[in-house]
Amino acid sequence: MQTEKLPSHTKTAWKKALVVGLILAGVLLSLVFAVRVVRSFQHARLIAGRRSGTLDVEMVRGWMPVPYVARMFGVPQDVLYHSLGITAEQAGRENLASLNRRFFPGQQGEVVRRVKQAILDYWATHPTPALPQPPSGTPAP
Amino acid sequence: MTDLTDLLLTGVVNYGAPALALALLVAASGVPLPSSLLVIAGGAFIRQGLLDPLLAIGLGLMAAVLGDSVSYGMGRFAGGWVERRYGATTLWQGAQNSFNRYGGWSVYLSRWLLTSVAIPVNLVAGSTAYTYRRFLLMVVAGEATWLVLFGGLGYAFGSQWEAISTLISDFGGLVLGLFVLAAGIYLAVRWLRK
Repeated sequence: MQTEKLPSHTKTAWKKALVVGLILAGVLLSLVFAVRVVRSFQHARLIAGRRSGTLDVEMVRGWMPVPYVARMFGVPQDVLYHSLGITAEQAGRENLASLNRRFFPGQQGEVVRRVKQAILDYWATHPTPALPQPPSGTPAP
Repeated sequence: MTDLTDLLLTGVVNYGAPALALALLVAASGVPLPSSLLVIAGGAFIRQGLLDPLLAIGLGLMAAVLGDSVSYGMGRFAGGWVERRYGATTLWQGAQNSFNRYGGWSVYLSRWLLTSVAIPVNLVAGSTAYTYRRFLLMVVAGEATWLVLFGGLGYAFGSQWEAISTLISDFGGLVLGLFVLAAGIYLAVRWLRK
């Protein structure tokens, strides 16, 4: 290997650079991620406190397909499809973000907005479900 | 979240444990996918009754171990070339000896604590001819720890799993930073003693 042919002072310089580089990179990475850990911990605590025990329509995300939203929020699928003006066959297994691109091009976030509103409207006339609990008899992983 | 992460989550929701296992296999083979996030989400989906816990953990473990074996194999394949070119040098022999002595811990810890270095560790294990049986043993133990620990966190946090996934990702970065710093200090102390 190349390093075996290098003079000893060059090898020493390389070692020094490696050690200094490792320490600097370690300090930098540790500091940056320590700040991020504190922030994300505070964020997680805030969310956990705000949502404890209740469902919140703010949990609706673009990756969720309609059947999953319906199951999670205790709303019939038909209600959600009706709010979007599409049928289950048209939606297939696509998620909300994908449905937005297909049926509401140029209106970013429209599908999520409509779905949230449909859930709230449904809850106004029906009992709000609790957060999904583990199925009975299901052991923790 | 990125479009790719959204696509993977939708896939797991739509197709269940096989989709999760496929993503873990591809990630462990070396393709950069957010596998820890998927495992945390998987735990939450188990809680919601969307995934069967035994099937998800069983398939996930098999897939992750298979993917690790693929990247180990790539290292082994490239190792022949490395061995021919650098095999006679003291530096390479030193690296081989070090990995044979401490490689087990590297493999185990990189599965769940220092996940960002898991693929490089697999490649080094393969290329330094670290025995596959020992590698497999540590990989199975490490991946099982990862699935139970991260999946368990997702299960515990349920619908709020997204908040915990960011925290875990940042914590992984902090551990990596501390590890790099410790390695630098260790080398500096050893060098100064000489």
